[in-house]
Amino acid sequence: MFSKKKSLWLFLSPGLLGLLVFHLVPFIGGIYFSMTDGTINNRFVGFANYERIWNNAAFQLGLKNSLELSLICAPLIFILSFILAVMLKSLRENSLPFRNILLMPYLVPSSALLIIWMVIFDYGGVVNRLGNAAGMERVLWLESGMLRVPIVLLYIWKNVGFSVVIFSAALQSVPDEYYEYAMLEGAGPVRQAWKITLPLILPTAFLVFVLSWINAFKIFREVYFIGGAYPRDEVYTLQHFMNNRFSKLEYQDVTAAAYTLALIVLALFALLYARKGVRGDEH
Amino acid sequence: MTKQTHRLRFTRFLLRSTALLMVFCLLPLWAAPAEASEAQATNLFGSTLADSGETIKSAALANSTLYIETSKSLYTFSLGDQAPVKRVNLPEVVRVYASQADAEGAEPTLTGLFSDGMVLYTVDTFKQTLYTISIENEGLAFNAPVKLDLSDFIEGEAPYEMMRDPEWAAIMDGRLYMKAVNFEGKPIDLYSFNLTSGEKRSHQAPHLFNMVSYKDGKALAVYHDQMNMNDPLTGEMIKPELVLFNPQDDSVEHLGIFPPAPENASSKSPMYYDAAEDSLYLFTDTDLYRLDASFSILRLIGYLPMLGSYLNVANGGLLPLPDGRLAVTFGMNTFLRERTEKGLEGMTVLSFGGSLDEPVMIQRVLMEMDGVVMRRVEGVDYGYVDADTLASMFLTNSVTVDLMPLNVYGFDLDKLMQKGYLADLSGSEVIRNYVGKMPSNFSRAVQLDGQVFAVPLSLMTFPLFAYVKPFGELNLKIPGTVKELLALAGDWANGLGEANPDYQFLANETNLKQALSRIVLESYVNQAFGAGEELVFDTPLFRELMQNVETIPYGDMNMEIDWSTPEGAALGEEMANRSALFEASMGYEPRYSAGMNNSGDRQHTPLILPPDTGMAGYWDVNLPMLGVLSTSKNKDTAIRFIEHYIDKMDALDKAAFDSSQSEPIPNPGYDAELKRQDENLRLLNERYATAESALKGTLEQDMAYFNEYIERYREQGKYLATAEDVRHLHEVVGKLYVLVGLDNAQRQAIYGDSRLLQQYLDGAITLDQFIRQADDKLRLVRMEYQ
Repeated sequence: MFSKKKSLWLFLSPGLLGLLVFHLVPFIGGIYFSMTDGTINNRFVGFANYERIWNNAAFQLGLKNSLELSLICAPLIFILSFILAVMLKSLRENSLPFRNILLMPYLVPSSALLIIWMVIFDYGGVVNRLGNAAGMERVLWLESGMLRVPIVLLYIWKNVGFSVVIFSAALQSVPDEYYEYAMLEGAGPVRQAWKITLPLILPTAFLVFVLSWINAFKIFREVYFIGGAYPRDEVYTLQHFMNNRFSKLEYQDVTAAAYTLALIVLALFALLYARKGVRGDEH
Repeated sequence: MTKQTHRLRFTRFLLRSTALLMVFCLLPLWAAPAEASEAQATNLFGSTLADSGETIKSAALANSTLYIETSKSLYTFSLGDQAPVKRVNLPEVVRVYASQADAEGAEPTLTGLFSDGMVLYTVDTFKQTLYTISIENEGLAFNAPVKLDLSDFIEGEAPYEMMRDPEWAAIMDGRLYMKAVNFEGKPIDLYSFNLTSGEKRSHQAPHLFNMVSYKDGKALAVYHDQMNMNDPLTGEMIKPELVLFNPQDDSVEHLGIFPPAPENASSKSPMYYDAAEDSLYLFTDTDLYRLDASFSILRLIGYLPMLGSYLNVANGGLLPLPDGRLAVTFGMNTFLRERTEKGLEGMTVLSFGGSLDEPVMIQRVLMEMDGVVMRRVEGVDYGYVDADTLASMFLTNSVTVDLMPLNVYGFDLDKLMQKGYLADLSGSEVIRNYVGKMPSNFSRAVQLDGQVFAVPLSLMTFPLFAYVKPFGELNLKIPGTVKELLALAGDWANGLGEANPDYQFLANETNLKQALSRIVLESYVNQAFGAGEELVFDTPLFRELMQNVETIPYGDMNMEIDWSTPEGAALGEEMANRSALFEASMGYEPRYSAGMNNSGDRQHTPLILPPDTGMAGYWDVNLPMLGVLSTSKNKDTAIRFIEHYIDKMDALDKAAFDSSQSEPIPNPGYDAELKRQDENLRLLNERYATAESALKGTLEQDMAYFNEYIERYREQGKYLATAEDVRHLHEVVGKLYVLVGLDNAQRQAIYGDSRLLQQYLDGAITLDQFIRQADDKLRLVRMEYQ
C-alpha cells in the first residue's frame, strides 16, 4: 500500500495540478510573452518592452495614480472597517441587520452603484445642492480633478462591508474577559482596541489590509464608467493604460505593465511580511 | 537463325512498337471524353443571372427534364447537358390590377411552374386559370385551361384590387395546393384545386409552408406563424417546425422537430421527401441537410455558396434529378448536389469572419468559384469577429478565419499590418493594379513597405450635404467654409428664414445649435487630421467658430417637436414638407450619391468644408475592406475571392477608387428600362381606351407620371455617371482621408466619450471646460503612443 508520504502527494496532486496548470504555467507563459515583440512570430526581445513602457509617460502616470489611490483607499478601508466591526460587536446579536446593510453595496454591480453616485455628485446633484445651500460653490465632481473624491468614497462604500465581515469574525474569537479585566484596570474603548483587540486579531487585520490594498490597485471600473478610456489625469490608472494598449493590439505592453505592477506589489508585501511582529505566531 | 527471320522479327518488333506507341498516343484522346463525361455540372448559371438582374421564379421536374423559369426566360436542363438551355424568351408582363374584365382578353402568361412528374403546369393568376404547358417553336403553348376560383388571393378594393401570388404552390396527389399570404391571422390560408375540374377546397390549417408528399396520403410541411414569430416570454424567434398535415381532415401533427434554418428564420427551406429512403432533404443558405430515420438523424451532406441569401424559390426549390442528385434552386442560381456526404469532398470552405453587408455580392462572387463555399466562422455569435475577438483568436492560436472584413473604425489597420496578422496580397496582379490606381490617401492606408494587406471595396462618409435646387431658387451661394456656413445660419436666423417660410435651414434637426456645434467640431477635427497636424482645441480659430455658433439668435430654429400631440405632429409634418438647404444625417456612397442616382429635385452635393478660408477641407472616410489573415490555410482561394469581388464591384464604387478613370460610365440597363417603361405606357393607354369614365381620371394621372418619368430617364439615364460626375466624384474622394493609428485613437478619445461633448452641448460645462478636458484626453492618448 501507499506510504504516508506517497498518500500525501496523492491527496495533494489535484490541487497542485490545478495550481500548476491554471496559475504557474500562465504566470511563466505571461513572463515570456512580455518579452516578445507581439507580432505573429512572437520574436524574443528581452526587456525591450519593459524598458519602453517604463519610459512611457502614460504608464508612469497610471502607476503613480494607482499607487496613490491604493495608499489612500487601503488604510481608509482598514481603519473604517475595524471601527465599524468593533462598534457592531458592542451591539452583539442586534448587529446582524447592520452588518448585512454594510455588505449590501459589495453585492451590487458597480455599474448600478455608479448611476446613484453620478446622480449624487452631478453638477446639479445632491452634494452640490447641499453645499450650495450651505453657501459653498458648486464643484464639478465628475468632470474635474475632484473626481478622485467620489471615486474613493464609492470604493470605500462598496468594499468596507466585506472587511467588516472579516473583522467581525475575528473579533468573535477575542474572549470578553480580557475587556472586563481591562475595564477594571481603567482602560477606555480606544485603549482596549489598541492594546487588546488589534494585537489579538493581527493576522486577520493583516489579511484585511492586504486584500484592501490589492483591490485598491484594481480601481478602474468606477473611473471608466464615469471618465471613459481617457479620464482626467488624476484618475488615469494603470488599468487604463493596459486596457487602452490592449484595444490597440499592443498585448506585449499589457503583459509587461501587468508584471511590473505584480513585481511592485510583491515587493511591497515582502517588505510588510519581513517586518517584525506582523506574523501571528509571534503573539 | 536466317537473316530473313531476323528481318521478320525486326519488322514484327517495329510494328508492335509502333502500335504500342499509337495506343499510348491515343490514350489521352480516350481519357479526355471519359473525363468530360465525369465532370458534371454542379452550378448551372454561374453568376450570369445575378449579373444581369435576372431572377429565378420557380422550377419543376417533368419527364426527367428540369424546367427553370426566370424573370426573362424559360430554361431546361437534362442529364448530359453542361449548362441550362434557354428555350423560350418570356415577355415582360406588367399587370397593374386584378380586374377580371381586363383578364378576359389577355394572353395567358407563365407565372410559376408546377409538375406532377409528367405534365408541366402553370397558373395564370391574373386569368385565374390553370394550364398545361409545352414548348413549341421556341414559344409556349398553353393547353387544357381549367378555371380556378382565386378570389381569396385578391387584396385591396376596386379599382385597386391586386392579385397576390401564392406564397408557395405544389401539386400533390392530383391536387394543386396554394397558400395565400397571411399576415392577418386568417384561419384559412391554404386552398387546393382539382387539376381537371378546378374544384376548390379550403383547408383549415393555416401557416403551413413548402408542403411535400409523405406517407399514407399525408404531407410534410413547415409550420411558421408569421404573425407570431417571436416567443412572447423570451423574445427569441420561433423556428419553423416540421409538421404532418392530413388533407383528408385538415389535421396537423406537430413533430417537435425544428430543422436547421438560416439566420433569417422567416426564410424557410423548400423540402424533398424520398419515401424509398425515408429521408427528408432541406437546406439553408450554406448547407444541404438530410434527415434520416424518421427525422431523428441530421446529416450535413453538402455546401451551398449562398451565404446570407433568402430561400425565396418556394416552388420547386428542391427537386430530385434522375441521376440521383438534387437540384437546389435559389433566386439567382441552381446547384446540383449529391445526396450523401460525398458532396462534401473536394470543397474548399472559406471561413468568413464578419459582416460585409454585401450578401448579394458575396453570392455573385461565389457562384463563379465552383468548389468553394463560404461559411461564417464558427464558435462566435452570429459569426461576427470584432477586433477584440480577433485579438483573442491570435493570442490563443485559434484563428479559424480566412477572409476578414475590416473597417477603419473597428480595427487598427496599421497594427494589424505591423503585427503580421494580415497576409500580403501583393502577389495578385489584379489586387496590385487595383490598389495601384487608388488615390494615395486610400492606398497608403492599406500598404506597408510597398506590400498590400487589405483591399477597400466601397467607401462611406457622413459629411454635410447641400441641396442644390433650393440654393438656386433662393439665389444663395453654397458656403465654402464653416465660417461662411455659420454666417448663413446667422442670416437665416436674422430674417432670411422668416422671409422664406417654405424652406428650412437644416433637415431632420430640431436643435440647430447642437447640430452646428457638431458640424464645427467635425470639420475642425477632420481638418487637423487630414492635414496631418496635431489636434488641439485650445486655439483662437476653434474658440471663434464655437463663439459664432453661440451668438446666432436661434429662436424657433431650436424647436423640440412633440409628436405625441396633434399640434406637434402637424408642425412636424409641416417642417418635413419644407425644402431644406442642408442635410447632416445622410451618408455618401458613390453608388448612391454620385451620377444619375443623385439628380432631380433632391440633388445634393457633399460639403467638405474647411473651417476657414485658406485651409483645405477634409473628411474622414470608412472603407469597408477585405483582408486575408496570415494564418489562413486557404490563402490562394481567399485572394481569388477578392479578385472576383473587384471584378464585380459596382461601377461607380470602382470609379471612385480609380484615379485614372475619366470616361463617362454607361448605364447598362438603359435600353431595357426604356423598353419596360414604354411597355408600361402602352398597357396604360390600352386600359385607358376601354376604361370606364370614373377610372379615366386616375389613369390620366398615371400616364402623365409615366410620360414625365420616361422623358427624364431618356435624357438623364444614359450614363450612370457622366465625365463631369466622375470628375466631381474624384474631387470628393480627394478630400477624404483614412484614420489610422494615433489619429484614430485621438478621434475615439473625443467621440468615444460622448458624455463630454453632450455635457457641453447641454450647457453643463462651459466651452473652456470642454476645451481643457478634450485637450487633456488628447494629451493622454499621445502620451500612450510615445
